[in-house]
Amino acid sequence: MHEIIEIPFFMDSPFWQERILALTDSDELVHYQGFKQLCWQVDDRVEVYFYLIDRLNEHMIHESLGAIIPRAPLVVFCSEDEPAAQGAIMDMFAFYDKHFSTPAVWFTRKRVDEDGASPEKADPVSETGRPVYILEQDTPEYFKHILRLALKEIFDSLLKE
Amino acid sequence: MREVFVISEEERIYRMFVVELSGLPVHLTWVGDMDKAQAAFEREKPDFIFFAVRNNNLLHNWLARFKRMQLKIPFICFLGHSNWEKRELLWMAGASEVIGLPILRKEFRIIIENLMKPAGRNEKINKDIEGDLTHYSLMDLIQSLEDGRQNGILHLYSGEHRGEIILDKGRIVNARYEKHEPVMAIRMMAQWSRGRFHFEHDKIHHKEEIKLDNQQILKECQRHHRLYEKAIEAIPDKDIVFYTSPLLDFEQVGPMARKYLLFFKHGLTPRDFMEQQGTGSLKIPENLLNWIQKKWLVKRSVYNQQVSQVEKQQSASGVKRILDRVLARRKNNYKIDYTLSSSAGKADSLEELLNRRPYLFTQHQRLKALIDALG
Repeated sequence: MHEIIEIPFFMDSPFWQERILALTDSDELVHYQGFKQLCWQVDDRVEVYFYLIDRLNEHMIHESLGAIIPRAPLVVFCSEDEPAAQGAIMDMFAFYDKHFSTPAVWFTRKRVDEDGASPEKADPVSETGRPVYILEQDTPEYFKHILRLALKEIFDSLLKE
Repeated sequence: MREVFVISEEERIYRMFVVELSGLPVHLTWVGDMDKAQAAFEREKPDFIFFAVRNNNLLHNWLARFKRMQLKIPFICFLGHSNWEKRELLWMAGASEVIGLPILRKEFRIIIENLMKPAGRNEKINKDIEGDLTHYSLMDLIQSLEDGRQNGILHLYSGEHRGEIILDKGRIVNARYEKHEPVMAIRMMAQWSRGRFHFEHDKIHHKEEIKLDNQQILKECQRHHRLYEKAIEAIPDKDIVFYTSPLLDFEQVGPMARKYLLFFKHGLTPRDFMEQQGTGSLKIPENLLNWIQKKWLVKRSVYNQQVSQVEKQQSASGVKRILDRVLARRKNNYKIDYTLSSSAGKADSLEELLNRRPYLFTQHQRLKALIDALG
């Protein structure tokens, strides 16, 4: 029997969905109301269920993912670009933050802490106070690398508790 | 889990019991022959005793010695093939059951299961449990009721507050306290450190209204407890007596706040107030802090000043009084702020934090396996 880990991914563009499909080498997305699901057999022991949510539907998140999110090790918020403070992904994050306490991390494509953001411009991603992981190379290996880093950090903090 | 001492000269017999009774809620300990058993009873009193010895005379000798100890622990005798008279003698000696070996495995298990049932003939266990909440925390109580797979209603009383937690075979399935939602009711009641509890056994199958398991509920209670302690910690001068400000217009205050503020009319410390009126709701310590900050509650020196100010006003003529009031209001002299929306602009109130769905991930090994697989 496989051990299953479920990870919800909130995203603001098809870019991240394609990265996940490339990582899992699969195109078998199952469409549900409010989210899509993808199974990834990592090895003969572990399987990951990805839940991809690309729009804010409060009712569906409560109904369909309300039981999954509390039991996930973490949730990932993915932004292709630096989002605007009023952007769709920030709305999703705000909603999430109000209703759940599962740890959240950010995956972004651009550097948010260096050249990109000018000092006077607010950076909504960093302002959430959650860890930010940057996809510096657009390869499945690198995606796997940052996913592992994020999970490792959660695992270490769980051990500390 | 029922603790059973096996008194027998042979470990082989004890091993046979362990194998045959595996899966039943009994824990068997082989204590050896009667000499060793006597020493063991001094350390621990089991719920049940199994006497298993081939020699009939030796068995009666052991039973006589056991009786002299006056432990009143129920016991079962195991015999090899024996005639009816021999069995009858053992029943007369007080054995709960006499079992001839060998016996069919299924039959054996059914007999033992029935004898060990908490609602069985053992009255000590069937009796309602009650006690003082100062001596037992609710979390410990729930843990022991879970261990005993108890079925029934746990009633809790603290001052004028009362609530109940419903258990089905040791599992929390529902709770009631005022109009709170079941899990919130448990979280609040878990903060009651004074009062009484009373567990009422029943055999009813209670409907499941709470989807969390006991461990998750206990985790929620601990989380609530940390926030509750934090909220109480934030209140300043907990051991100093506070009074309701004489300048406070009770008409401006909501009915709940009015009820609580009246307790301070003749002076009360925040600590005593929390002990007497704490319902477990985070609102109460949060509001108390708010009232102190808004100067609805003041310390003795300020109270005295305000009293003399009010007396002066009252001794003045009616017209002057009205004028004074109007002018004072214009100058904002009263400094009583009746808005209670202090949480506006503040990050999250503790109550909001609590209403978030909890983080319940516990599969550490599984996560480790995934991290390794990704590496």
